Amino acid sequence: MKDLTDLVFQTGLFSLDWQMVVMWLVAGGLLYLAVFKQFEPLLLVPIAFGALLANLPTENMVNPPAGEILSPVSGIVTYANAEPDQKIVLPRVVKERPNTIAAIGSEEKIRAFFEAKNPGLLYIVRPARLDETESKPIRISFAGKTLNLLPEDQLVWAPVSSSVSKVWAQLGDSVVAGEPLLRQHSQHTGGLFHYLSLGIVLELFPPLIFLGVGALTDFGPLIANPRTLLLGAAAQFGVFATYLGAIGSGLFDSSQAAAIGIIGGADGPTSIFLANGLAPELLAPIAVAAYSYMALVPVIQPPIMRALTTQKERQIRMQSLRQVSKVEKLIFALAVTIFCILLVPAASPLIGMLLLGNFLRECGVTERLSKAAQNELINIVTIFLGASVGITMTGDRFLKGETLAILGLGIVAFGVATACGILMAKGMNLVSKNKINPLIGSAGVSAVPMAARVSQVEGQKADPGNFLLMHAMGPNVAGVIGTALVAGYFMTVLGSGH
Amino acid sequence: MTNVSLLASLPSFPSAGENASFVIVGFLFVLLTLALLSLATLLIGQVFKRLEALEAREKASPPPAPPAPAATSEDTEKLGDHLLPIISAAAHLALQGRPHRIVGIKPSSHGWAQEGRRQIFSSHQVR
Repeated sequence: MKDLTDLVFQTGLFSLDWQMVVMWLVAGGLLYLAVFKQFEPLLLVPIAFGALLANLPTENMVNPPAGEILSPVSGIVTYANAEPDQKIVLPRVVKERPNTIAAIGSEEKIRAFFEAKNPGLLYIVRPARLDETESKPIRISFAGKTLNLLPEDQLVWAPVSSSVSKVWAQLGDSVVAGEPLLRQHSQHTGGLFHYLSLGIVLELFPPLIFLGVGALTDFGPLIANPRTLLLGAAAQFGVFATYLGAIGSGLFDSSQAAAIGIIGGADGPTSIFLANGLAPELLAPIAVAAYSYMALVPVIQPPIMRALTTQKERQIRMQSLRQVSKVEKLIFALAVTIFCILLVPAASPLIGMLLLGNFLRECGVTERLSKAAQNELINIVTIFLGASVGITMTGDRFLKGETLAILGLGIVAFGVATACGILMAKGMNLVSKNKINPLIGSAGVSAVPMAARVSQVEGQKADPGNFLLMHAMGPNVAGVIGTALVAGYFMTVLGSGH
Repeated sequence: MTNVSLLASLPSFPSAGENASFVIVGFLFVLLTLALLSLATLLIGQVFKRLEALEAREKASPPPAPPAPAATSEDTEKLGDHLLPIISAAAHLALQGRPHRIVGIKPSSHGWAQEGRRQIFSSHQVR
């Protein structure tokens, strides 16, 4: 009977909490939208399934391998709880752990936090050059010691259950950022999703997706009508407007606001790329918002398109696009690569891979590589990217007011980007004899080719004989370049440490 | 990029002015970059359009005329067979290879003024 009881306690049932169960519902909702409503199923299915796995008491799925633990900042060790051969046992489901005292919250919460056991808290490091007179220290008792804590103090946690094999840093020692504090040892070499997630952390997956996107993209309509690049540029105002909204809300700092703003670019890989660089803690809600709203483009855009255009404007028929030669497409790929990377080096992983994929497609002598990028590579990376994003959607991270704010700001971003593209097209019509149908302006939000299809559908509602699809592909692919440039600008200005 | 480097130290919680500057500079930067790219693409496109037009013009010039069929008029019959290929070749040269068919060959009258006028006309490119 005792063995049976022990076995029951060994199951994952006792590791469940309400947040995990709520996240099952969230994952179920995403799966429903993907499978039965066909909302971006290629991304939402892996994301939702990853989210389900993230909220189950899994073992050896997400844990990193044991190894050296590095100091996050330069400063003084004000608390140390590490002895050689010490066993560190973490709960099966590790909740998100604060990395600073300020992140815990109010003084009451800090006291409550330290009254709990907090297994795995190894060090507290006070950043150097911190003027202690500026912040009021909080005196608390923890593990038989009295600690004077400042909000800026950094908490260093054991990432995995293990034993301590070597200790370098002791109480009172000065350490520099990146210096090893101790070494952990474990028989486990890390879970599958830890290694898959490195594709995001090391910024491998988004550029690889861009390689496939480039191989799938025909820049011909853009080259035939280069004015449409301006429509793609105008739509980027949605990103900046959303940045202002996010920073104005007071919930987010500038880096987080920029990562949220890029949702308006309607470009999933770029959103993930930037979120990972600027605000990795918001990666999951940003990715979910970006892909969900991309799927909702046919719902979000049409009312805005109809509100900002007249029937007459929607009936404008555009001049046929000229045929663009292979050599011209190749020169365009090279010119964009050189031009954009010279101006925004931070965007080079995205721009470089996008145009490499496009060059493979257009040069005509690398058909096998182009097909591999268009099919096998992008499909494999999409599975890993989606699942890796989903695995970050743990209940304690996702079920926050911030997530709702991000979802709300995301829809604002889409709306403003759509409106700006349309208004730019209308503005161009004021100074140009060769009229543009303003409906193609909305395609500047990227979301290739969904946004272009929406322009086509809305155009045909006004004039069934009007074919806008190829015209809308111009701003659509211009939006991809524009969003990558904005991401590069954000990374350059906000200094993500790349 | 001067502006970008000036803004490189944007704090975590910037002031309203810093935010406005960040947004305006960023949007103008993206707009100008894509406008320049648009201009460059337009110029490259113009070059290709001209090249294509030249190529099209070359293609539009007709293939060499088929061999002239034998003339059948009575006057033609009066001429010796040895003159027919010479006159056909001369007509081909005079018409610069444009499609033509010789339907008859007659001895011309001695209208020297007319012949002079013909030569003046033939010295111009006929469109």
